[in-house]
Amino acid sequence: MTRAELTPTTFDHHELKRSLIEFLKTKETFRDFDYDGSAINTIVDMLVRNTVYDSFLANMLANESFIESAQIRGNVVAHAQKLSYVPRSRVSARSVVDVDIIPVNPPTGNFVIVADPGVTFVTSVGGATFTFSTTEPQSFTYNGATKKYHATDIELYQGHYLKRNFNYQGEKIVVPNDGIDISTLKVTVNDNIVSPYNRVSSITDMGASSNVFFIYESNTGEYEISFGKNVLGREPSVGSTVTLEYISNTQLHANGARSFMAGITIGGYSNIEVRAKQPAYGGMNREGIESIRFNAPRAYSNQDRALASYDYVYLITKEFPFLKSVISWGGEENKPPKYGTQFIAIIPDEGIEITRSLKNRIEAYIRSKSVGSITPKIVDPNIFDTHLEIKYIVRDRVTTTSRAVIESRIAEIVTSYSEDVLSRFGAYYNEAELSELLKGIGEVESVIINEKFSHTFNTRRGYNDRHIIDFDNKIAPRSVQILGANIVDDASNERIVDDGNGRIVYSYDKAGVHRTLNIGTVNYETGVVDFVATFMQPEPGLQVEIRVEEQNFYTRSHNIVRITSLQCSEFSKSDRV
Amino acid sequence: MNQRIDIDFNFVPHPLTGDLAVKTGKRVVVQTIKNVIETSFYERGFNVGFGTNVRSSLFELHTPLDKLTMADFIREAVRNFEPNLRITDIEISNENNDENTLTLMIKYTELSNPHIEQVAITLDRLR
Repeated sequence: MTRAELTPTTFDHHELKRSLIEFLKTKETFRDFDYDGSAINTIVDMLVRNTVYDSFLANMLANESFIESAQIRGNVVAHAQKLSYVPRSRVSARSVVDVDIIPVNPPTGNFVIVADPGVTFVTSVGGATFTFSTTEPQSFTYNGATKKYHATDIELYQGHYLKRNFNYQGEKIVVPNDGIDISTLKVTVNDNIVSPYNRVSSITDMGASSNVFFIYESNTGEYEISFGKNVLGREPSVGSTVTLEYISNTQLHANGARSFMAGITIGGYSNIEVRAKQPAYGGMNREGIESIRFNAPRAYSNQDRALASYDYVYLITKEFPFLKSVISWGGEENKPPKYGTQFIAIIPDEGIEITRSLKNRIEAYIRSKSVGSITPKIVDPNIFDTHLEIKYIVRDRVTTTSRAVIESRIAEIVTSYSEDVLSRFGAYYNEAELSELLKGIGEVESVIINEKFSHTFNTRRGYNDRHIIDFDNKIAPRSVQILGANIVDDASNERIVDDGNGRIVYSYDKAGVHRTLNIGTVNYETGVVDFVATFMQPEPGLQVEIRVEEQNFYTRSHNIVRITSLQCSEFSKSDRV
Repeated sequence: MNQRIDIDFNFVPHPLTGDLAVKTGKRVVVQTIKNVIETSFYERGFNVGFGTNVRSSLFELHTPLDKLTMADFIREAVRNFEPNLRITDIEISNENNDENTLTLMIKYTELSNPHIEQVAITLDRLR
C-alpha cells in the first residue's frame, strides 16, 4: 500500500482536497471510491471547507491576539489598554479670540455680562460653515471709554458644547457620542457636594480619596468612564449625579479659520465684534489603528515621564497632536554645552511660527513630566531659506502647453516639496529629488537648478555684536554675502562678502575713498560664518546668503530648510556655454 | 476494471455490521448523476460552478425551448463533473406542472461499457 500523509500546510482548498483524496485512496476501504461527482466527493468538499474555515479562524485568532497584527479596531484598542494607552479621540480645531459687545445704549447698572459655557461662534472655511463653542463661563466687562463690553483671550473649540447628566449606579458610564473631544471633557459628581473629577494621568500621585476618573475606548468604539472603587480614586456613591461636559465635533475640521461671527446673542446683544488672535488650528480625526499600534508600546516604555530626548518628543506630540514636527536634545550637545537643560524645537502644523500662548502651554506641560533637575526649554527652529532659480527645457518644441502653464506646474511642485517634504526636522534639501519631481511634468525634458541658501539673523542697531551663523554645510568660496547691511554713516556701495580665503570683508566708499575691513571669518568646511559688526540699519534682522559646495543642503538638530523664493524660466540659447 | 463504489447518501447503517452502507456499480452511477443534477450552483463551497440550475427551474413555465436549454445544461454538467459518462438522451416531462414537479429520463453510457442505461430522476419542490 502506498504510504501517504496528510499535508495540511496550505490554506488553498484545492491543495487540501487533493491531499485529502490522495490520503484516502491509500486506505483499503476507500481505494476504489469514485472521487469526482460522488457522495464521498461531497463529504470531502465539506471537510475541506470546514478545514479552511478552521484555519481562517485560527489564523484570525492568532492575529487578533497581538497588537502588532490585530486588524479589528476594538482588539487593537484592547491591547493598547493593557499598556495604559488611551487612543486619541477626535480633536477640535481651536482658536483664541477677543470679543467686543456693542450695546445700543450705554448700560445703566449692569456693567458685567457673564455668559455660560456653550456660546457659539460661526466661521467659514472653503465654503463650509463651522460652529465653534466656548467651554468656560466668560465675563464681558463694560468699558466706558470705548462704550463696549470687552473680553479677551476666549478659547474657542470647533463643535458644540454638550452637558449630560447620568444617575450613577456603580457601573461604567458610556459617553453616548462618538464625536467627543476627550481633551475637553470635564466630569463633576454631585453626591450632596459638587466635586470636580480629574482625568487620571498617573496612579503614582493619587490615593483612595482622590477625585479622579478613568477613561477608555470600549470595544464598540465609544468612550467609557469609570471610577477608582475607593482604591485608585474615590468612588461616587450610588444614586449620585455624574455630569459630563464636552465638545462634540464633526469629521470635517476648520483649521485655518480666521474670521468668526457670534452665533447667538450675548447678554441680549447682537452687535458683536470678534477678532481672532490666531487662526484655528489642531483639528484632527480619531487616532487610526496603525497609529495606535505604533504609539501604544512607546507610551508604555515612556511611562508618562520625560527622561530621554525621545520621551520629550513622544509626550509633546501625544498631548499636542497637531504639531507637525518636534525635536528635542540635551543641552550638553550644544556648542558651548548647557548642562541641565533639555531643548525642544517645534513646528506647528499651520505655518512655521508657534504662538507664545501655545509655547507656554507646551512648556508647562512638559515641565510637569520632567524628572530630576532638568529644565525644558523651547527654542525656535533655526530656519534656512532656499532661493531657487530653475531653467527648464521643454520636451517637445511644438507642445501646445503654454510656458505660463508649465511654470505654474513647476511652482506647484516646488511649493509642495517645500511644505510636504522639507519644513520639518530631519528633512534636507535634495536637488536630485526635486529635479526628478520636476521631470515628472510631461512637457519638461530636463531642468537646471541653481540654489542659494540664506539665514536671517537678528541685529541690534548701534551695538557691536558678534554673530555666529552655523550653516552646517560646506560653503562654496566667494559665495557668502550679507544683504542690505549699513555699518558706516554716509557710506555708499557697502558690501559684506567673503574673499575666498576665509575672511569676511566689509567694503564701502566714503568721501571718494574706497575702504576695506576684515570683520570676521568663514570656515568653508564646517559652514560657520563668524563676524563682528555694528549695524546701523533698522532692526530686526539681516540675511546672510551662501552657496553650498554640494548640491544638497543637509540639516541637523533644530535646523530646518524650506524654499522661499523661485525664479523660473525656459532655458534659452544664450544660457548655453 | 474495479467497479465503482461510493457511500450511500441516505447514510443507512448496514443491518448486520452497523457500518455505513456503501453502494456499488450502477447504483453509484445513478447516485452520482442525481448528485450532479440536484446540486445548485453556489451550493458547494469553493466549487461554486458544481451542479446545475435545474432545481431552480421547477417554477418556470417549461416551454419546449426551456426543456431544450435545461437538457443542454444537464449534458454540460455531466460532461464536466462525471467525464466517465456520456449522456445519449434526456427526456423532460412536467405532467404535473401545477405541483412544480419535473421528471427527467436520462439515458447514458459509461466509457467502459457501451450498453445504454437509463435513470429516472424526479425533482419536487422542497415545501
